[in-house]
Amino acid sequence: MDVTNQIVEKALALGATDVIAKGTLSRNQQVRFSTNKIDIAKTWNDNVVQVLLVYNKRVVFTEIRDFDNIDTFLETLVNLAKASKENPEYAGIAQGPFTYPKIKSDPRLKALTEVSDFVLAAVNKALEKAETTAGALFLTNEDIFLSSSAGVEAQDERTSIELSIRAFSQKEASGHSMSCSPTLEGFEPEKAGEEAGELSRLAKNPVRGDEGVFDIVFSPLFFGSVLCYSMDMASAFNVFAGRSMYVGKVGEPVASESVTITDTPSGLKQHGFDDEGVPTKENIVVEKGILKTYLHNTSTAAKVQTKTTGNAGLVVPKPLNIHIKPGDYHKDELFEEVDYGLYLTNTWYTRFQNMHTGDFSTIPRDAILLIEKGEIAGSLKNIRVSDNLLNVYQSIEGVSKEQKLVHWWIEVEFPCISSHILAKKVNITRSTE
Amino acid sequence: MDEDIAEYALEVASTCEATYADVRLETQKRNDIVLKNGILDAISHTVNEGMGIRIITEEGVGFSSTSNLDKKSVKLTVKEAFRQSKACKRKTPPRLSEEKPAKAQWSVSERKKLSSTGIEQKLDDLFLWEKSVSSLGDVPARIILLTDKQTKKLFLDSEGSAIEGYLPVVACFYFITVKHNHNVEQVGRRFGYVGGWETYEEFRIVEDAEREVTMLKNLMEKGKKSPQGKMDVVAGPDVVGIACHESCGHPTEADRILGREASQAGASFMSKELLNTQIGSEQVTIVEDPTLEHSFGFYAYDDEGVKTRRRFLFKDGYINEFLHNRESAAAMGVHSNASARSTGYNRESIVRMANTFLLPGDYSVEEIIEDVKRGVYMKSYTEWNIDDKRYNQKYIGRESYLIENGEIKHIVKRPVLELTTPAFWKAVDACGKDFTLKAGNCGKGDPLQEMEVSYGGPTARLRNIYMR
Repeated sequence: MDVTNQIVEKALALGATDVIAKGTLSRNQQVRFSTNKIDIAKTWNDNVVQVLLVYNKRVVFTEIRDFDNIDTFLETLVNLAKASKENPEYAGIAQGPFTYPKIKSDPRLKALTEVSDFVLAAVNKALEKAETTAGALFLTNEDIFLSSSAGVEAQDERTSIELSIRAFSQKEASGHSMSCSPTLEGFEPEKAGEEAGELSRLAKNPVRGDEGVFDIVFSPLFFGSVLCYSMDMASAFNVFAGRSMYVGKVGEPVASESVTITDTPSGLKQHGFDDEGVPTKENIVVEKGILKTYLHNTSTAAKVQTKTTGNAGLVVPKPLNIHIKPGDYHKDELFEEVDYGLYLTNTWYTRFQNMHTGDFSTIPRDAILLIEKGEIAGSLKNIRVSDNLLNVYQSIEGVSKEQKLVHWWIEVEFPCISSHILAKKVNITRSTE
Repeated sequence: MDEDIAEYALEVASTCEATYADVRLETQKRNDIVLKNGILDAISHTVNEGMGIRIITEEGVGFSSTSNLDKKSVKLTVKEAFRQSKACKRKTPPRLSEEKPAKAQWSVSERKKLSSTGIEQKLDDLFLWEKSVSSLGDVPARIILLTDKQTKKLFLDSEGSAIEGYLPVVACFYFITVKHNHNVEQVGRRFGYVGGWETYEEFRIVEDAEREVTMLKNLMEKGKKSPQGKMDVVAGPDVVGIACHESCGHPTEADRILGREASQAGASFMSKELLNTQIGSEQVTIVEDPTLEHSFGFYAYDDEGVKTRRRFLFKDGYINEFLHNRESAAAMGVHSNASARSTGYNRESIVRMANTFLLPGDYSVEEIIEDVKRGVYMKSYTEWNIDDKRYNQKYIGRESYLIENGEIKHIVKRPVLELTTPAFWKAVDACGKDFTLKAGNCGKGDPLQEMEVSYGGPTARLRNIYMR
């Protein structure tokens, strides 16, 4: 806190008009594994202060790791700002001080140094039904210090642990699962291994899937990826850049009435405040299918005459933890609604023809299971969801009560509390030859 | 750079019970500018210096990094990497391929040094682009990002390698939305170069954006439905390039083949047994070459100290060689071919591509088109993707034309090519004399490492494949 306060004071003395200094002291660990053995174990001990400095609406940014030369960095930054150009849309930073909720970090995770046994436990559980496994465990342990020239002094501690595991029963038969938790108590690596192994068993002997229009049950992991891509498009930055299917759609239907999506301060990453120091809160982004708001910082909110949603990153607004509201169905009831369709358990490589319209495709991976009369009836491979994302949201008919916290690599980039989702008449394609 | 602190790290590592250790000391100066809809959103200037240490013991591989380069922090970081190697609890010890230790210095020349290119010059150039694009009519959303980086690297290892390198990079990406009547089309274009500021003019981004906007308006106004069914496809260098990257470069990454990336970027349909088997027509030779001067994927030595060379991944239609770092090479009983790369001192070096391209042939583009009775000329693409085993891919045309009786007829909307890797490469019957490389950003690793690469080739003709 002393360092971030010092940076703010020094920057103001050099002529800055607004300053935010965000310090992160991190002690993170990762264990990566494949073919049932640990490939590499890593640690990062990083101490960085990110600085947003504004001089008469000229916005510049830096990171400081060399704390012996803070004055030099700040002088360089102020000179850069002076040589820059005004951003007429810059509307200042949030005026503090604020009060914040109690810090929610887990002391047991903070004290954890040995994590490889969790990996071995998950692998061994998966191997009860699979032949080989791969994945990663990530332990996050961060102390955050935020100071701003608008009276903000905030401190937070964030801990989380997550294990992602992919199990193969055959070369083309796999299942993927994970356990993610902000506390050690909620972390269940063996359960993740068991689920990945079971999905790999169900996925055995896949045959080439058909093209056509199918009713689909998406798993929480698959739909978590969908939620991430769509909520990233709800960031006002992406809306203004044209990289969104939500341009001009606030107040309009963007999904079926079954869909309510919120962005929340709690989940895998517990955020007491955003990068302007604004206390975070639950924001309803889509309510019963209607787009209610974009995700804002102070400047993007001012552009559309609204208030910040507390989603500021240091430069652009971003989701914190995404949450789809649980529906009225039990998971099994969603399957019972499907006479002939697909259960898709994971996806990757989502790309858009046109982000404005939402035309896209994504490639199911891991267990792709055929549903007949509500029951799993076989395993498929080599298909692609080729549709329009707004259409997919409009076609949702059921959301499960049971939910799962998912977060995985870059495909579920933001933590999501996700459900099983039933969507009707989704277009499936495959390679023509 | 403080060579002494890197040597100190290696000295501390030598006191551990390690079978191998390497140290990567890096300083990276980076500038980013974001201009959105004519407004300068932000400028970023960062200097990131630090050291990554890898230690291998009989129990495993440990990696740790630090940005504190005092002796106390460095010693703690080495000890931490050693502790992590022990925590792997491997029953079979990790191995690296045997490579000759190297001592070298390399750098890339800059005609206009990045260190002396001021912010005013960069802003003038970006605002010129903005003025030009915004004057083209209904272009409601425009964003352009400019990055320049100067990276100094020092690599030392316990086998005696000592390599210093300097890599200046300029990269630019724009994304624009074009409206015409009630239609909307979008385009994203990436440019990259290893060298000084002289490259910016070579990007010709103003002309490029003007051409794209004009083409997209023409597409929205006059574009007709694309034909479906079996036909010939003429693929432009952009389409050939992305196919080289996705369906040749990635599946030949040996770490994928061995399963090391299976949970993230995926595995590969290939295996060691598929070496020397046919994957394409005899026209298809795809190379991977980090040695191309000033190319976006250039480097002289990889991040394990191995000297680079051209790699022939597919040769005359046959799978010829995989991409290796020392870990995958040892597992397959071969030598590394210098594919170990990392995006920074705080990331492990893993198998990556550099510049991946189809070798040109003897045909002019006109000759390639002349011999097509009915088909589609797909010059560029919008949506693309491929499954994680790198077998089923899809490319949707952005700028595409109908060809009839050897002549380009009219522009067509979003033709879809969705086919397997062998089907794509076996259909190639002619390669042009033309050649273009395009800059790309390749994502792999965990945590994600977005790597500068390029891909391309000539115009190529694919015979009798299914279009929708």
